[in-house]
Amino acid sequence: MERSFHYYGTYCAALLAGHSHEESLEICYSAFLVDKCSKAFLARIGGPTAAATTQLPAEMASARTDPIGLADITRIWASFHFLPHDLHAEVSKGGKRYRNKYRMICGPNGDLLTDTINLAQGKGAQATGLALHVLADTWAHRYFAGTPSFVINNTNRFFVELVPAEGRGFVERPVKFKHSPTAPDDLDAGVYTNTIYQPSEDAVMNLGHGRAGHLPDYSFARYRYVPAWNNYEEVFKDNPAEYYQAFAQMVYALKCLRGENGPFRLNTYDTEAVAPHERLIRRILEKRQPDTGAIEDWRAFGRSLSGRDIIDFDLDTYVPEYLDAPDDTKDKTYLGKFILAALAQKGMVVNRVWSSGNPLAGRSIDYNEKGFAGIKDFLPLVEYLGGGHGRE
Amino acid sequence: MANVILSLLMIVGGVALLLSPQEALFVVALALGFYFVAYGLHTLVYYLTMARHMTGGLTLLFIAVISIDIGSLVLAFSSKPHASLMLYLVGYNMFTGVLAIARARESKALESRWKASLARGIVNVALGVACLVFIGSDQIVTAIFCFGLFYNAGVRLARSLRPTEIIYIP
Repeated sequence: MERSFHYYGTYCAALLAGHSHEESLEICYSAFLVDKCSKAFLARIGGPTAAATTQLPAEMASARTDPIGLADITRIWASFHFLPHDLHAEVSKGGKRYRNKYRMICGPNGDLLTDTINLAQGKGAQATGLALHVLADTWAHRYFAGTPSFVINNTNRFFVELVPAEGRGFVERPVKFKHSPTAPDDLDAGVYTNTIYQPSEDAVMNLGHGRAGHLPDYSFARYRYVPAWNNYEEVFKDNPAEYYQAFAQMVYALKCLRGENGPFRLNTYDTEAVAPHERLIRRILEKRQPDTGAIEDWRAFGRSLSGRDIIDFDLDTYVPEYLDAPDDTKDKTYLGKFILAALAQKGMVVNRVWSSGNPLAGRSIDYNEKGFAGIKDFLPLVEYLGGGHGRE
Repeated sequence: MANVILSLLMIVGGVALLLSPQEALFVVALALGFYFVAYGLHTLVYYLTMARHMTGGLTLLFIAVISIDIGSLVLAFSSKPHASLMLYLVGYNMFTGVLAIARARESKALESRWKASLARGIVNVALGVACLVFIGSDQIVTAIFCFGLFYNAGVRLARSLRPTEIIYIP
């Protein structure tokens, strides 16, 4: 998903869930910050780089693909952008290594989503926005894994887009992929940029939906393709329909986090709150346009809901507050709280992956069993998550 | 940094080859043979344990078998390094040449830049043909191999010294 949905769409969802304009802005800022909080950004503000929620191109270019490097990549992408759907999925083929990769495939309504929402409970707008980003991406990034894997994430030439045709429903059009990172996608001609074919299991080109380009991120996209992991059977992805479900689930999750709906349950959607706006939302989601166009549509929808304008996302908005805060109160600032939420989410996901017997996200140490023996950046979590009873 | 060191080693190797062709050729043939066999075995294990379960994974088996074949052939002829080197040069240049021409065609179809790729493909194919035509000449085969070494070292060096763009999909 892109800025339009993560920032402006989240703003609208927060309003529909009953948040004020100001609260909604704080939530949607955090939701989109997940796509911007790189190690480079954290290094600039003097924050802990372990809290990175994304990797920039240069960081990816220099990323190592040895087990430690792979774990670092997987921690970031699986925790925030490709939440694994089922860490204990039955895999009838391949060995342990294949099984571990297969179990990292992202999808909506997995147990880890419940953990993600529960983790954000009572932790403020930053944790809420972060959790909503993760939730939304489980729909957009479905069928891809947040770890480099040729055998899971590769695509082949059977990739067809369903394009609306006037009066005729849809026409199928083969998707053309190119590898020029500077050229924009050509939505009219159906030409999209993807990563280069690299038949190497751990190449970063095979991370997430790189081989399918940005197609999964476009709300209007409907496509059929043959995933590498699916025994030569194709899957159909209907983004407008799934993004609508994502939106309704976001409103539901927001109400749970506000304490209105009881504990978060999977496969539950607040269609009632969204129904009065269904036609408009579906029209935005289905419109074939670049992200800039979608931003304007979501912005207009948000304005119609709150009567207020949505200020544009600026990465530096909360930086002065963080930099000016004394060391002992940095955790109380907006960015400080976001960093804690990110560390908590990463720690939780890595723990679940590790506990399932899967080493791809690296080692997780249970504080309650062994005390604090990990990366020191995670130490503030002891207080943030309620203290625990680990051995010091 | 690793690319810079490798580039410099390639240049040094090329110069050594030109100065002392017989001894250097033998070492090069051995190294090539072992490299291809090791790469092929690694790919074969990867195919058996992972890639055979994926769509299109059979390609990996072909790559593995071809690599092992080439490596074995090169090692079998390592006492006659000239023959090994010739085989490698013909195979490498023909393969990369055809690949570059195919890429040029693909790029042209997408109205992207294609001329440089086509030119590179034609040069590679021409070098492959030259190896076959001058099969009996040690000097020409050695010169073509050294040309390839210097060219690749130059490209590698240039690539390692400029910013690298890769596609990032958040």
